[in-house]
Amino acid sequence: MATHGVGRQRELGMGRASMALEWWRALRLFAWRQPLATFGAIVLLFGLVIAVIGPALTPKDPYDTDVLNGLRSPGEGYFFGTDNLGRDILSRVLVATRFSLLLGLAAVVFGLLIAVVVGVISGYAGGLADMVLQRIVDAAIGIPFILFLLLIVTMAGASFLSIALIIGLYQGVTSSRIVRGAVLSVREEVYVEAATTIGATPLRVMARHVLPNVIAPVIIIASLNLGSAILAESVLSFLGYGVQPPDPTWGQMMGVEARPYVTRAPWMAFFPGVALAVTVFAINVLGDGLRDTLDPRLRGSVA
Amino acid sequence: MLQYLVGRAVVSSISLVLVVVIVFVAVRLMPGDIVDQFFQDTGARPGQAEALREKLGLSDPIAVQFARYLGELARGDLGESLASGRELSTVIRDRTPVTFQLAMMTLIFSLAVGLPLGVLSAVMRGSWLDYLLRTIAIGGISIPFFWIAVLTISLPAYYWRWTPPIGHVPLQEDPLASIQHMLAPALVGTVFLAGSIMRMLRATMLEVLRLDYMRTAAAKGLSRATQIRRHALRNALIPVVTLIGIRFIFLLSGSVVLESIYALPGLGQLSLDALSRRDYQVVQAVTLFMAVIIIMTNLVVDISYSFIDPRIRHSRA
Repeated sequence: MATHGVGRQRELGMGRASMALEWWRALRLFAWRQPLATFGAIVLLFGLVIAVIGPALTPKDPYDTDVLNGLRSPGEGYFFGTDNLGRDILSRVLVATRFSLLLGLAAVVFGLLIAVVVGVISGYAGGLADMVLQRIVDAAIGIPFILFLLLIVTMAGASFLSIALIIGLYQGVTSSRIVRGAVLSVREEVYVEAATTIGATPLRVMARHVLPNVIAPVIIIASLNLGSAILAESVLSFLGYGVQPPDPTWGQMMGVEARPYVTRAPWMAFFPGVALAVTVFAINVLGDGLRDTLDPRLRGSVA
Repeated sequence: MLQYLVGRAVVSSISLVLVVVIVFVAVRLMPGDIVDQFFQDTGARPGQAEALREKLGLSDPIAVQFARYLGELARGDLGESLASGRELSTVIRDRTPVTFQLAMMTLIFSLAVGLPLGVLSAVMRGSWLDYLLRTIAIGGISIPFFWIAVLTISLPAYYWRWTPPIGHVPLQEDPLASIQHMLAPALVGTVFLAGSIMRMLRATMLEVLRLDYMRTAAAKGLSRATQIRRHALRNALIPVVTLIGIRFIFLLSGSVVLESIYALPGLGQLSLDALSRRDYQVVQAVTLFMAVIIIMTNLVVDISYSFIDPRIRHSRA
């Protein structure tokens, strides 16, 4: 609703100041109606700040090993304790934030591109293209995801780029169904028919009329996929198939690194997991709030 | 209905062929093969590795290997493990009950928790209880399940020198011990699954609750409980059934991690071991088997719609 108002004002050529005011009102309304989502947004912003300046905040060198200080429980000097090599867990958790968030964002952006391209073509063109694309989507849904991820990442070699591309590819293909569904309903609208009648090319109809009207589901998919992308990367590193040490990731810290010491140093797995859980929780409540605000009809279709 | 089933079967087999091709090619593109792994520590005499590859059929061109594999599949033969030489249909038959038991226990717990709380949340919409339940549900789907799994072992072990029972006891040998051994992983899976069932059920219940027939039901003088049970819940369940289908797939996939943490000898652990050993045959067989189950699950879900809602007829595929 609120975004609609902003768009209309821009068309009417309203002044810059009143537009900013309108945005501010929309934001305040969102914060009032969706306190939990606002909390999520603040936590996420905080996370992004840590992602950017994290390495400057570390109390100790996250790569510096000090075996004599290994497996120290949380306490003075080491708020989150140390790992088996004596590295400071707090510093490592901070440094790993950048990797998890950026990887999630990269995967989601790539996934959205695929979801929109596949979904719009499949929904708008229909016929043979739709048939072929949807069978590929079926195949993707039919593959057990974690196994597929392990397989392809091992095949391609684990790097930031390869992991982001593979998670994005999978998410894009599977969420293209939602875009396709939205396109199918938009296609029947009168304005699409009108555009076709006055001789607009299919490409123009897709870009100018169909695409802008499926933006809401796309934003919602993005916010809900971000959490899953970060979780997927963590599972991968947890099992030891992620990027290789010494660069820490949350999944790797609580998986391959912590599991041999699972009964002796629970803090090794605990703190990276808290960081991961809080991040994903913040993203999910924000996504939920966005969905309720932008398109309440979608409640349920993207769970 | 029959026409619908035939159509679905055709479409499903196309998807399966795609899965088979993708996995077949992908496993062979992984760096190193089982022979490299085998001689990694001991080292091979010249010619030894090549001889072993020859024997296992790995030195043939990939097209020849694929043709041979398809021939085996066509005869209903999943092949043998490269590492142990065991018949894979037997291996999978031994492993499946473990994974299946875990998935079923998780599903039952999740329904027991998720359905009543989801209904409660929708009926009490806007109350503090609703808000609390929604936050818990979102928490459930956000908390990494592998993290809780590790904590269920590490925290009690560190503070009380106790861990939940690890390992597996077959159900037919000692049902009670078997369920006990799987309690921890099943509850960990429940945190996620119950959360997503609650969310979905709340959303669909809210849509149904404002429909006209609900007002009719209230006007007829039915008790609130009967209104909910007979009229609202039944109609709100359809998307939840789809969701359960999708999440069942997630459970199969998640078994890879849970089985490795709790040392359960199921399909997940089998595939994880096979992947690191580069036992192509096992990886292929397990992914194919899982893909068949996933596709069948989707089919069962679609068919079950027409039982829950008789208006849905499967006229076209």
